[in-house]
Amino acid sequence: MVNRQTITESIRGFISPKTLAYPSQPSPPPEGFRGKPEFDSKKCVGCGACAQTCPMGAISLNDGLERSIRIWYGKCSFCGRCQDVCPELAIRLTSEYELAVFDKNKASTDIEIDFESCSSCGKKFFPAPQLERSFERMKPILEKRNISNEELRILDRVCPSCRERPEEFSKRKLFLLNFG
Amino acid sequence: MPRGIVSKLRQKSPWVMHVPCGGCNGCDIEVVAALTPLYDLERFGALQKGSPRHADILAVTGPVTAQVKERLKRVYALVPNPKIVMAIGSCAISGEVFADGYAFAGPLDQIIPVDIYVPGCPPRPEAIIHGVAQALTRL
Repeated sequence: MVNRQTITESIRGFISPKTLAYPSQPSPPPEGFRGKPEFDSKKCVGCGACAQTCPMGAISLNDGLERSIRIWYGKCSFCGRCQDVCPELAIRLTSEYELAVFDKNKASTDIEIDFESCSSCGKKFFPAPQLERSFERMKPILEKRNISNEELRILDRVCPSCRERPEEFSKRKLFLLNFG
Repeated sequence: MPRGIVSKLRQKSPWVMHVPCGGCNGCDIEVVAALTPLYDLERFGALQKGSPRHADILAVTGPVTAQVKERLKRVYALVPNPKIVMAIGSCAISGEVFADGYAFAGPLDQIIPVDIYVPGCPPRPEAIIHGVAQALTRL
């Protein structure tokens, strides 16, 4: 069926061109478009949930003196699962789509997260912002039981290998008994 | 003719040959969409050609499968110099979902030299136009 809209559209096509003036004028993508994923360095706690959930393996974790998380757009399928799974809403899919590059390794974005060092042996063992965030979440629960946040802080700043020592173990047991 | 004039004329008419290499067809649709009147890549003189002998730019989409690998090498050899190879879509760059498949013989840059990479799954027609415009600076 030829309706009114089809006729007006086809007549309009003769009057003014329909071609987008794209390279000279920007062409914004539609609402909800999933473009280049980007980190918010202020929000990211370095938990690595995005790297774990990425179906393509486009997000990689590299643990050295600090944790570096890298998204390689050359492997990204722009599905947005990293955005869904991020507990801090630190990773977002922007509406940017002009990603053409001459070197494929340059089509990436990095973020560096500091590690917390162990209070007894000094080994770097856990992303510091993530630890800080967990204290914040525990605060109301501990307040209900009249336990100070600092107590948990002392216990949690010990790396997993140091936790196996007997004196650390007894401290932990005491804390759990208080916790109930 | 002097080389400068030739390369300048080439920039005015970069003929494109589209080589689908076993992808999901998403990128192929976007490449064809870039040639439609709405996006109109032909404004820049980029005509789509059926023969590699007429082409300046090879627009390769999809991960390269074992079947197409040798044919792709032949197509590449048939393009006259100077030639540009565009890897369109994330598949052509890294293999993406197909990277662990048995038929995967790529990625593209291990088979033929690639000049420009256009990530996206699929890239928008605008992103492909952006890629072509970037590639022309290298011609």
